[in-house]
Amino acid sequence: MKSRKNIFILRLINILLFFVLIFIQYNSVFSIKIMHANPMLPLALLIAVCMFCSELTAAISGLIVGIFIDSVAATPQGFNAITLMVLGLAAALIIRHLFNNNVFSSVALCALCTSVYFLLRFIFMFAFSSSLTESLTYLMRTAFPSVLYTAALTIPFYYLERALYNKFFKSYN
Amino acid sequence: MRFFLRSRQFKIIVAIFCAVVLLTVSFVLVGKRMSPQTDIASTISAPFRNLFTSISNIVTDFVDNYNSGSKLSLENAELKAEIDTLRGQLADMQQITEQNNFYKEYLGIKENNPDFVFTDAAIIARDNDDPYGSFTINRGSTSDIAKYDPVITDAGIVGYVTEVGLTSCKVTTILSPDITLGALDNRTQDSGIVTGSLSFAEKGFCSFANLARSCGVAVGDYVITSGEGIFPEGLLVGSVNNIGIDENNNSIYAEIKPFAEISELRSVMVITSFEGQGGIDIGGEK
Repeated sequence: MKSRKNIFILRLINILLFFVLIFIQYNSVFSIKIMHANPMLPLALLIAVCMFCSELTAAISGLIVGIFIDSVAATPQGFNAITLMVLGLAAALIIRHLFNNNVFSSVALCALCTSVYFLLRFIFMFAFSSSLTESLTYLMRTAFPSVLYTAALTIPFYYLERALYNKFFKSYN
Repeated sequence: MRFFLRSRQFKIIVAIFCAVVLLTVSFVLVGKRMSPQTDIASTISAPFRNLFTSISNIVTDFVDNYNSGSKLSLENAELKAEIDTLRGQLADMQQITEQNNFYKEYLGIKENNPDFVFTDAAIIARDNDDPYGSFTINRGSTSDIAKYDPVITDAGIVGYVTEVGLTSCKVTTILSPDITLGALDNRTQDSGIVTGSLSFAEKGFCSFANLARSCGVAVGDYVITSGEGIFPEGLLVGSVNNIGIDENNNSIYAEIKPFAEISELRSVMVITSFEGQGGIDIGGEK
């Protein structure tokens, strides 16, 4: 019973965190851009969440976060829902079967997932409507620095999620 | 891993994935509305987004006021210098008056176009990752907004509605290459199309392309809509900033600075109805 309550509180905290990050991400006032690098905050948190949950929870978290992002982002319909669902599932599977659960893994995984995300975003949004020079400029000036920035930002999210997980599930580690 | 692929969890994930893909694809094919899951998410988060937008606007105003307070003394000195400059500019008053008359003519859009039906809307979200400056507004199909409705400000055209939800909709701006609108040079009546590109969008400009080599377009000219396509005619688009030659087809293009400051917008007007609307078929949807 206590375990269920703990899961509920943990998910509620995560939902609130995702909401705040989505609002920050899609609001021009609280911009955390550095030059052209704009981190994908919800994805960084999603990867951190996926490090401590089951595959199904990871996929559903990705789906829900993606749906909310789709309601405000300039990407094609359903792009974020589908992409984040697959990335969430992939992250959870990789952490369970390939990587150890530590901060370096979370950074590597986040860099990998964000690269895939920005590459897909580039293909869907820019590849067919821009010249080669414009495409390369976008990839090198915006996408690549954004991947690094997002990967760096997953570190505090990882420690936050681990702290939450330890608080609500003492048995971990 | 093999065990997971055979598990019930995996089957549930695949079922959800297929359902989302099917829903999205079917609504993209129908084309006129947001997919239902996005629409529901948008409706649920609308009050929170409104609240967050209000907070961010208050923060922006506060920061602006704070900054302006510390600059008052500097401004005082600058203003004194400006008075001298303005005295010199009195000579150009006639020209400025003429320009003002020109603006007045277009700013009174509603008076000149009694057939326009407007819906005012506030910007509640902005995709910072999108170099074309697209945004979400707090009005949707419940306010009679439909796909392809033009979005303007009193300064000029901003873009058009691309996805409509119940209480919100997404707007693609004229900086985007997805938009192509028929336009005219107001002085010479040379016609071309206004569209965007990644390199122009980064500077906040769009392109007035496909102009004939013999056209008389000059820097400083005003570009207005021609009425071909989804926009009514006579709306201000922007002013010509630079002119170049398109290497692909040897035609002339002009770099346009839109009159509407797209990155600074907080509220816009959507023209939900006007005379001649829907006259042109857009991908078989309208």
